[in-house]
Amino acid sequence: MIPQKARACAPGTLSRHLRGRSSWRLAAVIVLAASPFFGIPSWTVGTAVLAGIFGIAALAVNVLVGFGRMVNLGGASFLGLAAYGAVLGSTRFGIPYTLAAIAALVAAALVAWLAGGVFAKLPGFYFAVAMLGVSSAIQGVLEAFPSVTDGDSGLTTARTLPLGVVTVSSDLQWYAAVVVITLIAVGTVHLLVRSWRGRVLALVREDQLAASVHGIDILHVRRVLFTVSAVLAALSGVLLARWQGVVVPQDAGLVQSVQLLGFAIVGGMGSLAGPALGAGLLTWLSNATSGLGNIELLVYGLIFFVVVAYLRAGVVGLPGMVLESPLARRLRLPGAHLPGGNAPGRPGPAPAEASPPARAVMHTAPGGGRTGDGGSGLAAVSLSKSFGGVRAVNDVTLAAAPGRVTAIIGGNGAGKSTVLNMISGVEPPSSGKVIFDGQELSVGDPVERARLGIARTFQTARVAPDLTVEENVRAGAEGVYGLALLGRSRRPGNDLAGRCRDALNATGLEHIAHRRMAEIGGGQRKLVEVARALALRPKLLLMDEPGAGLSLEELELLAGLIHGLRESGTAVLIIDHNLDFVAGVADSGYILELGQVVYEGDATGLLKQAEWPVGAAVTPAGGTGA
Amino acid sequence: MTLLMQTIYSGLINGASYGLIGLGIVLCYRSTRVVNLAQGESYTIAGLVTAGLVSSGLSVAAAAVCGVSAATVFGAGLERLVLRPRLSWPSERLIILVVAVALCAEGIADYAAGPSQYSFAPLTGSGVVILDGAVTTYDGFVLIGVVLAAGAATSWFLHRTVLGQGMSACAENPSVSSLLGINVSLMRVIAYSVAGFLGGLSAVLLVPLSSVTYNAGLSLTLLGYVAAALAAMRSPLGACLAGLVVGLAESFLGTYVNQLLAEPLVLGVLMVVAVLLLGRRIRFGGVVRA
Repeated sequence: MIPQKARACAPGTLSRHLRGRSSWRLAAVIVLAASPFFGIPSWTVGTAVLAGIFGIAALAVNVLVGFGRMVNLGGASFLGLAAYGAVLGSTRFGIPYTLAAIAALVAAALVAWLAGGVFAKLPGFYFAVAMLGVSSAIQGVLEAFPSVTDGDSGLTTARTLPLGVVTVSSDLQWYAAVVVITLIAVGTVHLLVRSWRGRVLALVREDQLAASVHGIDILHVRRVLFTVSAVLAALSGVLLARWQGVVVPQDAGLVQSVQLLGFAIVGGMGSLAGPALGAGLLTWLSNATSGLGNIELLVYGLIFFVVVAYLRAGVVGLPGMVLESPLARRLRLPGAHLPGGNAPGRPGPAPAEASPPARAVMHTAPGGGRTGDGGSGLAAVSLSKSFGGVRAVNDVTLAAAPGRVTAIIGGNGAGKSTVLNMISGVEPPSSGKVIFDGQELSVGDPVERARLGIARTFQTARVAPDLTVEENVRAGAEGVYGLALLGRSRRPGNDLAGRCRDALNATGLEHIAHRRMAEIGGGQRKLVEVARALALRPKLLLMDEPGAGLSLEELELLAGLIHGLRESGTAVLIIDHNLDFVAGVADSGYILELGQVVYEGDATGLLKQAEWPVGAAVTPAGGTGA
Repeated sequence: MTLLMQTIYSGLINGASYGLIGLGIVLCYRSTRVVNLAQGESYTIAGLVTAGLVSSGLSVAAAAVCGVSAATVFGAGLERLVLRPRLSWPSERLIILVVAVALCAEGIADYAAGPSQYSFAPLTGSGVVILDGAVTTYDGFVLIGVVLAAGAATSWFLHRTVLGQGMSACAENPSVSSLLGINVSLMRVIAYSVAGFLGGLSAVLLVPLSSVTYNAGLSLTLLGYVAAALAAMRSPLGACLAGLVVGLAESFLGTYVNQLLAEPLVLGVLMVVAVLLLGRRIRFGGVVRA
């Protein structure tokens, strides 16, 4: 979803493509909402109500799966808990249902926030298993205490929905109420995942490591998603209980959970209207196939299989698939084009004239004005790292001062990347400490480093392939602000857009700012990473082989950039094999061999020392610049 | 004492089938990184095919061979026809794809067999062993023996043979493995066939002691999944032992605590505990080294 950014969309790019699709989605939602009156067989008002209620629950699952890549096989847990809570509250304790329902939502949020502290830490399928277990345990407990929950037969309740001034009772009233509530739920999620939050989420989803070195607290993001998802599921639950007039343990159980995940995936992962569409399609399907007797399950299963196996982007991706099919292209239907193939201008080399502004741009105070004086820079004190029995880094002490470029060179396996990983908090050292501006940094905490103004790039670019160049740069810079759910105080200011533009200009990427990452070359991707780091206005920039894979023009541009950074008082620490490049930019450096510092001193001495047998192809001659 | 023996025995034979299903899930996961939630269907298929053939007059042994073959073919077909064209898909979609296959399998079973329960005579004859007052059967002991042997054999195969190590390598990095001359596709088909075979084997041994219905697969899959998760989706022998533990826990809870609480509680609590103990925490979010 890329609303409110129309100006950023070059004609014919993916953005327009997506906007086209999102309008289709809107149309689909309207059609879905109005559909009970179209006379589709088996698609009654009652089915539509159920589809809407399940649509909210499927949206809850999609918030986790689609936006956080957290496979949720226990999506019905909070649905069932909230339903039981609200019904028990109103029948046993005589609380008005509306109040009980609101209390259930608040309780769901609190419980999810607390539980999220543990569950959000679980990686990959462990999260799925844990949620599966939770869902199943909740169903079990509900079945096991019939004195409170009436066991298998469930708790009955009135089939009305009191909404303050009005009470919803007839099917048609229910229908209207559910359509409105579903739209509100979808709209709220839309507000939550659009613009900068959307970019941050995309970075977290695509590359957690890159996200964390840009100051995005991944656990926090996952916890927020978990809470939002729980509240949505609870909302669906309190509606479902009243619509069915009964709530049974299976509502919280495994089959329901798997079904909800199915809705989200059939509808289209990561889309907003998808879950409701998926819920609508499958609810209708199960309604339409019921009464077929023995063959019911088979028909349902086959259709489910076909949708999952052949509609990659789910139901919402269908028009895109149709428009991009070879048939549509032959017929020259509007919108039928090779994705991204017709963007203006071929990739082309980065224009050389882009380098002059580099110097000027970076003259602004380092650290985004956080400090005027550069501080004392970085000091790593006797860092060591062992992998099993291998001592990859042994007692390495080094420093990088503000306004200087420090290089670390060494052969493959000398421990260069490990040193950089320990400094940037990506890998915890076995022993030793890292001090920045006089402050000792916590072990293995890249987020803290990003907030203190330490940025880094990776050996091979780690970027979100589905975002554009500009969005990647912005996502990185915005990460520092965290994903505050409601807080506006730390929202990225307007100057952030300016900073990102400056960073793009400085790296000569402005002409491809709106291209998707997947469409640009390897050297350009690495420059995107540099731009993303620059947009943080770092006080210390760590670069892991920045020159590898760059063309000569790009190397020159990069060298110019690094000079500019040095003049603006930034500390730069570079790891590289390319001695030509290092000679051109470094003030001083270290040589690592077998995990130990074997030389430290100024650049001239460094290069003299570096005439080792390792790099036969390396020519330690006079550099290109300086 | 009789009750205790009976509880242990029934826990172990149920646990043995969870272990075999869990072992199949581990094998599939280790060769393709897909959580095979259709694994329990191989049990249903083998059970129903065998029961059908026995009732049409075939001997139990011949019918069992056909049943196990059908389950093996199902496993191979799942890999070859459904998963292989889509291995580049993200894992969450593949899980749902496999669930869709399981639904179709259940649909076919429902269409062909209807909602009634099926069973057939034990392979080893109807011999009964009375242990301390508890009634046990030869088939039950064979099942428990088979699960331990299968776990040990698979562990040995995966860790000690070139073929098995190749299979593990396939999941770690398919493209590099194939460059090294490992036939990745073959490895995957073998893993899924073996998984189907094990599911079928558990059916021909367990069904005579209980019964099979068209929808037996999913709950069995989930308990097998718990066993596999307890073994961190890695160790075949671990999955088998975990399956026995799950079966025992279920049996003891059902007998001594609360019949209603047994299965969901075992499922739920064991899963959560397993995950919290085994799940490595996300330190910085990166599983991959920079």
